[in-house]
Amino acid sequence: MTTDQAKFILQAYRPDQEAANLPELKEALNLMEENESLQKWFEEEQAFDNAFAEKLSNIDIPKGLSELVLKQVIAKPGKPIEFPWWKQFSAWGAAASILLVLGLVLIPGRRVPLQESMMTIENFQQFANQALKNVEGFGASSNDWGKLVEYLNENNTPAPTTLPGSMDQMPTVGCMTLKFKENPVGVICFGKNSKSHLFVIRSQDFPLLPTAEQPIFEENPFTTTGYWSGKDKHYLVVSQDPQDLRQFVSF
Amino acid sequence: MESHINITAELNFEDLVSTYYQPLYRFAYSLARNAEEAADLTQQTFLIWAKKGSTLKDKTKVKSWLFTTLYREFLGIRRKSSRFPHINAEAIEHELPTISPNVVSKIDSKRAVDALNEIDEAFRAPLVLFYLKDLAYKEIAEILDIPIGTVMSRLSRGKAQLKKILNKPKKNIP
Repeated sequence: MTTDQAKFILQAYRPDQEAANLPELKEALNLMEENESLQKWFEEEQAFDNAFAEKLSNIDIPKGLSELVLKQVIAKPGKPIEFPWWKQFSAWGAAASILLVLGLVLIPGRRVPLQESMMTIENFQQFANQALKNVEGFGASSNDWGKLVEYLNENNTPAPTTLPGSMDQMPTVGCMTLKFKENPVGVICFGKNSKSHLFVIRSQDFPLLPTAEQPIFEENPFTTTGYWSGKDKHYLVVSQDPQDLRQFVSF
Repeated sequence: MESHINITAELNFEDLVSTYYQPLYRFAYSLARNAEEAADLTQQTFLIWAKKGSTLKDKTKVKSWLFTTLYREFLGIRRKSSRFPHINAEAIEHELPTISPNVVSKIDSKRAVDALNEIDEAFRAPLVLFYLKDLAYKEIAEILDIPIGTVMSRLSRGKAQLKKILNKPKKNIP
């Protein structure tokens, strides 16, 4: 074994670890015992390793992360209510021609590329996060939930019928139609500064998804998510402004 | 300092989170270089534990299980956009750039993570686990599903790349 070969092996050696069973490492360690310059080089390596390891140990941990992890598993349920304007919604059916006058801007729906995997709540969340990062612009813009629901229905896309708390009182901004595994997904963006987004899918399109009769909210350092099920739909809300959401929905 | 949990007692979820969320987050952050994604990966790892952890028969492997799960989740996210470079184990170059520990002491954690991010993906994960000092070689090998000898080889090559990167002028590190 040459000195360079020994260095290559010793470079990966951490003295507090038991890896000496590797014959090459044993040979390199033996060589080091007899070679002062190699010993000095190894001391410098250790100093470098310790200095670099200290940098990683100084990575800041988000405040409250452990509490949020615990909350995630022991989530607090909220209380859903029927979406009040839905019962009146049939009246909107004849008003489609007026929508443009009321300020709707229609843009064709688009697709979000997705990995193929079994559908779980986590997949649904991943899809939503991916969509929020990659999709821009609305299929329709309006500050009225009803108009956005009308647009989604007209485009054969699931629209909300069951919302928790007073979510339907929050101002809307726009909506869009997406596809998840070839199935339609309705999205309504709402809340102050449009920082909350409601994703709606049909239960029949995703039969493996669990039914959550009570909304389950999860908070993490950057977003709050809520998942619940209605009669024939599953819902996921993703909010980057939990304080705004909290004013209308208790969780 | 390596953290431990009393594995002889029944695993308590709160203890598990308390013991491992910090090293898991640091591992995630070093891989993803993004605080939000790192927090998501950490949460997701514990969520998966809450659902599937009971199937782990050997409770002494809980730490490896958590790191493995986080790493797989990270790979699942990354796999969509890029594939790992093929590593030719026979083509190891014995290039050993030198760098003073003083140079390292002057950089901050962000630049350290940035430098790690420039390392080839296959070398980055073992190097991060090596520097986090939470896991033995055997555990690193289990997490990465490679032999210990390969761990050592990748560590050495990764360190060589790391030194080269740190030796570059600062402006070359985004």
